[in-house]
Amino acid sequence: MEGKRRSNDRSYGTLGIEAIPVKDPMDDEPPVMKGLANRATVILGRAFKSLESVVRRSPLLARVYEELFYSRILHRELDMSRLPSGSRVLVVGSGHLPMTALHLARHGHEVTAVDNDPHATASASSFVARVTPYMNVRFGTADGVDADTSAYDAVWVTFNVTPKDKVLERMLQTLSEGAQVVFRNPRGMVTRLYAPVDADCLGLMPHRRRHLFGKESVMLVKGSCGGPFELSETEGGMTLACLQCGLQGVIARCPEDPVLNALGLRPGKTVVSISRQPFGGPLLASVDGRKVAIDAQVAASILLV
Amino acid sequence: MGQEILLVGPPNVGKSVLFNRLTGLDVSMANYPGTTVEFKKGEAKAAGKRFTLIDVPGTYDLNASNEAERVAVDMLSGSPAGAVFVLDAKNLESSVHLLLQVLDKGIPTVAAVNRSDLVKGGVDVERLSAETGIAAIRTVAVEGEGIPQLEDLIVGLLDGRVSPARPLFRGWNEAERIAGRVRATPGEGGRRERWGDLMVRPLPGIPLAFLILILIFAFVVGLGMGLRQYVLMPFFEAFVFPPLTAAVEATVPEGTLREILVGEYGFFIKSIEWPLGLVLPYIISFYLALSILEDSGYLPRLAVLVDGVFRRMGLSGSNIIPFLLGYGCAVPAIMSTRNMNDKRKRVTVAAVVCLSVPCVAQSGAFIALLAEHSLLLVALLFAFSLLAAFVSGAVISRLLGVRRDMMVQEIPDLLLPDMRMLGKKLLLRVRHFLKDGVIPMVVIIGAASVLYETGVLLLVSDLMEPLVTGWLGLPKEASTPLILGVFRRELAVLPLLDMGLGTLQLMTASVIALLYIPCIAVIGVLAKEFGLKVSAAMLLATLAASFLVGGVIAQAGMLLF
Repeated sequence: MEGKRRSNDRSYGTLGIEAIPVKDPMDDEPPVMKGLANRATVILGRAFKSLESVVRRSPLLARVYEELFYSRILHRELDMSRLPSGSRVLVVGSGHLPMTALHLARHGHEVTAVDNDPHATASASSFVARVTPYMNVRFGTADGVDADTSAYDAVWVTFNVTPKDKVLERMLQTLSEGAQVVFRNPRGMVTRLYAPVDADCLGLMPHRRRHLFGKESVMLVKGSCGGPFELSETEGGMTLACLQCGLQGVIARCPEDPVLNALGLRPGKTVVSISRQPFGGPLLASVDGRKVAIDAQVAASILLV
Repeated sequence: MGQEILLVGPPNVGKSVLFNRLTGLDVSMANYPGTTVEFKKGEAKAAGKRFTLIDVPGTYDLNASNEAERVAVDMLSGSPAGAVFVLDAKNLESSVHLLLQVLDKGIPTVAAVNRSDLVKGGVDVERLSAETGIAAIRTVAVEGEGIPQLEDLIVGLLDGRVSPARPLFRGWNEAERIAGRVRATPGEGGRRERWGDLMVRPLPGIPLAFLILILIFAFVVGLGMGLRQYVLMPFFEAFVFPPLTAAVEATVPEGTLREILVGEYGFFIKSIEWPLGLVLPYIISFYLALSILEDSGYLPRLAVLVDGVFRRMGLSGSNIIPFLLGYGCAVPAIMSTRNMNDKRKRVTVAAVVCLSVPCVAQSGAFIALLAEHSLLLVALLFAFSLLAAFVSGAVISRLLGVRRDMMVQEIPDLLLPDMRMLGKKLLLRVRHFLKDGVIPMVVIIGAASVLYETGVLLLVSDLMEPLVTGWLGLPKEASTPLILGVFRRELAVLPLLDMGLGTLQLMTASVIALLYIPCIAVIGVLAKEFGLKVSAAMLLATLAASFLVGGVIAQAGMLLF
């Protein structure tokens, strides 16, 4: 991302209330999405922002809103992460109505919520002070792209954070071993409105939970699947899962699994991607002339040079 | 029984072809004590010396954690006379790695480098001998090349002339170094390899898979029906039943007991007719088809193609085998789940097969019933069966909390199946079915004939009437097939043929028959494999599902039309 992200007056809360500015397509920055999709994002964003400003006036409405859109998602995310109570959690992109942060705090975690829009953090903090003053949530204005997360056990990156890939990269760099990142991605039709982050290309084995309305939560654990994937300068974060069909790559790191290793998937080996199955099925690769079908998730844990 | 020789090696190396070359007809399949892993055992002779050859489950590594690997380690830790290690000339590195692990166990070992015709420039077995300290030869098992030399080496093992090799340093570096010295460059892939690759590519692969499966289905139904109608049943009716009936009539006085023994659902008649006359032909035709699929190397490709769908059921594509078997008969399908290591997964597969996979006999009956009315109905019913399998699989695996295995599977080269081997495999499977499948079936047929002849079944039929006419919108007589369906799944369908049902009634009745409780033989196997509680739960669930779904279709249909 060139330059520091600025606080943006034209910030839109969107589907997930928690608003982090969505880049305006008319800006000088290169647009992430084009044409209709962009318009739709902006219009949806405005709609949700006005809904959100109504909702945050009433604690009761806010609670109903939380039940409707958040409880289930958060419940599944917590179930997936198995975070021990009292963990230090950073929520990036908490927005005007910090539902994720509140929910996590209610589960006994020590929560810090940041947003790069000072208006958002101010109204979020006043909302919490009014509604649930004893909640263990701290607010701050910061940008995910330059946050230092080494002091946290887990980071939640909300749906509308942009540029999400850069933020996630930063998180994975600064987190300590064993810490988790949970982020929300669009899926299915919604990927036409919002560009998803390719979770398979982050060099860690992603765990996924799908939700209604085109969302999914993805969890990554730093250092999981056989070896710490702290990417060095030369490693681009390219995994076998993202290798295009017909192309080849050399394995840099691979989980130490007896079967994988015996099938020729070992560091230094050249692997060719042959074909890929629909519906998230396995991909077919060839190593030393031997054909191997590899689950997409396993392939995502095989790092290429 | 002679001394034991282990046949060890990685999967897909041609180990079972070698096994078949070395052994005679005296081969058996056994469960390794305390596990669900099956292995083959056969009597063999080399230079006049008899020995027992044990086909150790193929494994890539002795440190892997699955059950087959544990069995392999356990067998190697016993006290066999020796081991024959089979290396794959095409994948020498991983073969050598495993060989080094096996040598570490301190068993006298000789090596056979198989598939040595598939590499350019050949394999330097003398070098391999020098590096590992054991005798090694080249073989091409499918052609029978190198078998006499291998038998000579085995004689050496039996005579105790081979001493365990010195322990070697293990690890991939060592394996790569040795393999590099022995030097084998894999040959160019020919037309067969290109076909093999195309079959796993989604685009020609998926339509091709449908085509292959339809052909297989036609083959199984055709051969099975032919065997049953023109070979086995005429044989029993001409040579077995008349003397049997005569013998019973001569010794047992007329009355209930005689009826129970040789009446319409007589024990002696049915316990021969059903397992041997009706099921056995399909077992034969089905296992023949399956063995061809297995030996040709197509099954792993099919597994890859369906993995995307199977993962939604908490399973992996490799679990397709019991489903394929289920389209033959649910009994072998359930028995084949034995080599799955997770009981919850086994229950999921068994339940889906019982609920929504029609057996070959029932499929035939469906075709007879529906095709007369409209071919579209047949297609609709089979589409419904697939949908039901998918939905029930997804629901049950979630209820049981099944965790998905992640697929990492070698896709072996395509091969032309060897006739001799097919025959031997078929023999093995049929013997297995006769031993394990027939007895529970006979026991339950006995119980059923008592219930039928004493009138208990008719009473149940009367009780079911309101449900059948009111909720399902079927004529009163339609309760009969439901009762009979407990005995044979196709009997839940066939009596409907003469009832003059309308389209909606046909669909309702077919859906009920499809989802209805499995036949009595299957119930017997379920109880044996999973215990009474699980099988009772499955019966209740299938019963409830069939009446619920069937009723909903009937009611919705009546509202709409």
